[in-house]
Amino acid sequence: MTSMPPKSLPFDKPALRHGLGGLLAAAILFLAFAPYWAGRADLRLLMEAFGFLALAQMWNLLAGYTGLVSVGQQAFVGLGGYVFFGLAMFAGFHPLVAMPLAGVAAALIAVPTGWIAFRLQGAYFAIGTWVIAEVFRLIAAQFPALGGGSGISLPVAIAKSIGSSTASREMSMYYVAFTIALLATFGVWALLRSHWGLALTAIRDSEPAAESLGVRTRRTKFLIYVLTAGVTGLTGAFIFLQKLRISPEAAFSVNEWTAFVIFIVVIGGIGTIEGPILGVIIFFVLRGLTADWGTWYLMMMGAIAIAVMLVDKRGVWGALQARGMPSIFTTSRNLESKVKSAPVDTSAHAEAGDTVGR
Amino acid sequence: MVWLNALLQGVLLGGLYALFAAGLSLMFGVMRFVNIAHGDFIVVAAYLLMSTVVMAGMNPFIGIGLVVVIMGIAGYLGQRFVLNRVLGKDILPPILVTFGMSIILQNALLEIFSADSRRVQTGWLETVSIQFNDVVAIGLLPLLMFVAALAILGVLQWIFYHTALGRLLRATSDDAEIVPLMGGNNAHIFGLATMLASGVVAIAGVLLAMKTNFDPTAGPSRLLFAFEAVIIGGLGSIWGTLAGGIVLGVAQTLGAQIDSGYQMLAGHIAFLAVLVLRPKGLFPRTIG
Amino acid sequence: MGADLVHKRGIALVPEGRRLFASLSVEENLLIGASGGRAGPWTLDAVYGLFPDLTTKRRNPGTALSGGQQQMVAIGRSLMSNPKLLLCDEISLGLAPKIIKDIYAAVCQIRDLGTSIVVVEQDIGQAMAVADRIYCFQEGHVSLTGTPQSLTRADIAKAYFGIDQEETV
Repeated sequence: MTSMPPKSLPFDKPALRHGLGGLLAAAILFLAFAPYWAGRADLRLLMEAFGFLALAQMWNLLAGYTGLVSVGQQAFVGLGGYVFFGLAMFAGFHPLVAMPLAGVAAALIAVPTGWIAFRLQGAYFAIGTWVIAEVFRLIAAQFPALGGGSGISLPVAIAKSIGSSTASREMSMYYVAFTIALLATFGVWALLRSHWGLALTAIRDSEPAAESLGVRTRRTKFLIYVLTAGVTGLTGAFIFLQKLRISPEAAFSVNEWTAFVIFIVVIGGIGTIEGPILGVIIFFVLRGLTADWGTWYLMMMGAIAIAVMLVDKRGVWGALQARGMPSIFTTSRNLESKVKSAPVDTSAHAEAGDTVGR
Repeated sequence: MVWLNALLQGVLLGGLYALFAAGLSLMFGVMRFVNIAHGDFIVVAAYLLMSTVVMAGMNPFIGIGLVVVIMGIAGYLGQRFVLNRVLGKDILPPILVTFGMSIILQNALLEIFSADSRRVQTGWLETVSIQFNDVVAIGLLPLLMFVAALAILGVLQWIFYHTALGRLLRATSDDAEIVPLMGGNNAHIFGLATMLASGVVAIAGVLLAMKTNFDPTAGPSRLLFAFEAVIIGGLGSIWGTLAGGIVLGVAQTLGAQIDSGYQMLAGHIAFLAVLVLRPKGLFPRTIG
Repeated sequence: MGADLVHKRGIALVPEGRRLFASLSVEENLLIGASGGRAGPWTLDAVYGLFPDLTTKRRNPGTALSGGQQQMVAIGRSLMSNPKLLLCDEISLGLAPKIIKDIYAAVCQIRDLGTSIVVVEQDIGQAMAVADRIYCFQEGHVSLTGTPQSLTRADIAKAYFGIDQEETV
C-alpha cells in the first residue's frame, strides 16, 4: 500500500484551518440564499445533495466511529418515507410535523431491529441489517392503502399545504433540506465534542481498549444505531416528500440509499466530518459529468470505490490530513496531538493491507 | 396434502440454497470476510451457462465444465490480485470492494444481456415427475438438482477432511498467522479457497439457471438466501449448512403456500426467528 | 522479515502459547508443518519416535491433549519443516516441572540430531542446565553473555535485577 510519508503543506497550519473554516462559513451563507440566486433545477439538485449529505453523515457516524458497518440503512430511509406518507395521508398531520414524527418512528423501530441485528457481528451484522431492510420492503408491499407493491403518490393537497405556489413550496422544501443537512453535520460535530465524542473516538481507535477504560461500548453503539436511524428516517421522509411518490422498490433501494451513501463516505474520507461533505461534492460532480453514460456511470462509481480501497483506504480527506491538512471540524481539544496521531493510523492500515493474514 | 407437497418442494429447494451457502461460508471460514457480490457471482455463472450452452450451442456437459473452470480461475485471480489486498482487521474494505464488484457486475450484465428475465430450458427433464398422488409430486429436475447439490456438498466435505488442501484450509481457518511459519503461503491458500468456493458458485449458478428465471439484478437476494442458510445452520459444518438451506427452503415454500407474496417474507422471518431464539444457529460448531 | 521468508531461510518457530490448529488432529497438525515441502530427517515417524506419547493420540484433536502433549505437538509441527534453526518461545510456560524436564530432554535430543536451537526461557535453572551459551537481554540489549559454566545464578540475577530473563541453548 502506498502510504506516503506525511509532507507538510506550505502553509501555516492554524492559518489554513481558519481559511478553510472561513470558506465553509461562506459556502453555508451562500447556500442559505440559494432560493434567491439558483434556478429550479439547481435548487432540486442541491436538495438531493443535502439529503445525501445527511445520510452520509449518519452512515459515517455509525461505521466510521462505532465500527458498525450497516448495509441496511435503506430500512430507515424507506420507513421514514412510508411513515411520513401514512401520517400525512391518513392521520392528517401537516407535512412539517409528519417529517420529524417519521424520524422518531424510525428511531423507535430501530430499537427492536437493533436488538436482533446486534446478535450478529462484523460483516454478518452488515448482511443482517440488509435482511431486515428486505423484511420492511416486503411488508411495505403488503399495505394496499399505501399502494402495495406498485407505490403511491402524495395527494396534491398535502404537497400544497407546504406552500400554495410551486415557488414558495420549493423554497420551503429547500430550507427543510438545508436544515436537515446542517443538523446532521453539526449534530455529529456537537456529539463528537461532547463526552460522547471521547467514548466514540476511543471505540473507533480500539474497541477493546475503550472497553477496558470503562466505556460501555455495546450500549454506546446501540444508542448511536438508534440515533442514526432516527435522522436517517427524517431524511427519508424529506426525500419522499420531494419525490412526491413512494414505492417499496424506491424506498428500500440498497443501491441508492446505502451503496451510494457508502461510496460517498469512503471516497470523501471515513471517520471525519469533512469526508462526507467532500464525498457528496465529488459524487454529484461525477454524476453531473457522466449523467448520460447510463449503466457505465454506475460501473464507474463501483470502480472508484474499489480503487479508493486499493490506493488509500482513508479517502480523499483522510489522505489530505495525513499530509498535514488540518481539521475544519476540530473534535479534540488539543489539535497537535490529533494531527500527530494520524501517521500512526496510516502505518497500521498499510500493514493490514500488505500482510494478508489477520 | 398440499402442505406435504410444499414441504417436499421446500426440502428440494433447500439443496440449492445449501449450495449457495457453501461458497459463502467457505470464504468466511478461511478468510473471515463476506463477499457482498456472492449472489452476483452466482448470477454471472447462470449467464455463462446461457452463453455457452444456449447461445453458442455447446454440449451441456462441456458447457457446465467450462463455466466451472472459468469461475474457478476468475475466483483465484480476483482473490490474489484484488481481495487479498484489502483483507485485514478492518472489515470495511472487503465489504466495500465486493459491494463495488456487485454494482459493476449487475450493470455489466445489464449492458450485455439487457434487463430481460432469462431461463435455460432443460426440455423433457422439466416435464417428467414422480407422482405420489394427485397433489404430491416430485419433479425429476428438482430431484436431480437436489441430488447434485448433495453430491457437491459431499465432495466439499471430502476435500475438507481427506486432502492436503482441505487440511491447509482448515488450519488457515483456525489460525492464519501460524500457517506461513510452516511454509504455507496465505495469499495462495486464500486464492485456492476462493477458487474452490467459485467452483461451487458456478454449479449453484448452473442449477439456478435451470430452475428459475434470472435477470441481472437477481444476485442480492441469492446472497441473502446464502447468508440466511449459513446462520440458520450455525457455521458448524457443511451438513449444518445443508440443514440451514432446507429450513430456509421449507419456510419459503410454506410461506408461498399461504400467499405467493409471503414466500420471501416467510424465509426472512424464519431466519430472524432462529437469530432471536438460537443466535448460534441450529447446529453450532462443537470442538472436541 | 515476512513469516513465509522466515520459513524459507530454514527457521521454524514454536510459538508462545503453542497455537495448535484447533480443528485439526494431532497428525494433521504435524502434517501442516511439512507444508513447505523441505526434505530432511524429520518425518511423522521421526516425530513420533521423539514423542512416543503422541503415537496413541494421533487421531485426537490437537487441543484435546494435556498441556505438555500440546507442547510436543507444537515442537513436532515445527520440526516437520526440517529447519536448520528452531526457535522455541517460552516452551515451559504453564507446564508442570516433570513435563518441563521431558520437553527439555527432547530439546537436547533435537540438538544432538543436528538442528540448532534458540530457546527463550524465563526458568534460569532449566536454561543453565541445557544451554551451550546464554544471552541475557535487558530492554532489547544483550546485558550479559557467556557459557553456563562461566556464569552463576547471582550474575544473571544481577544482570537483570528482576527483569525478565531470556537465555539461549
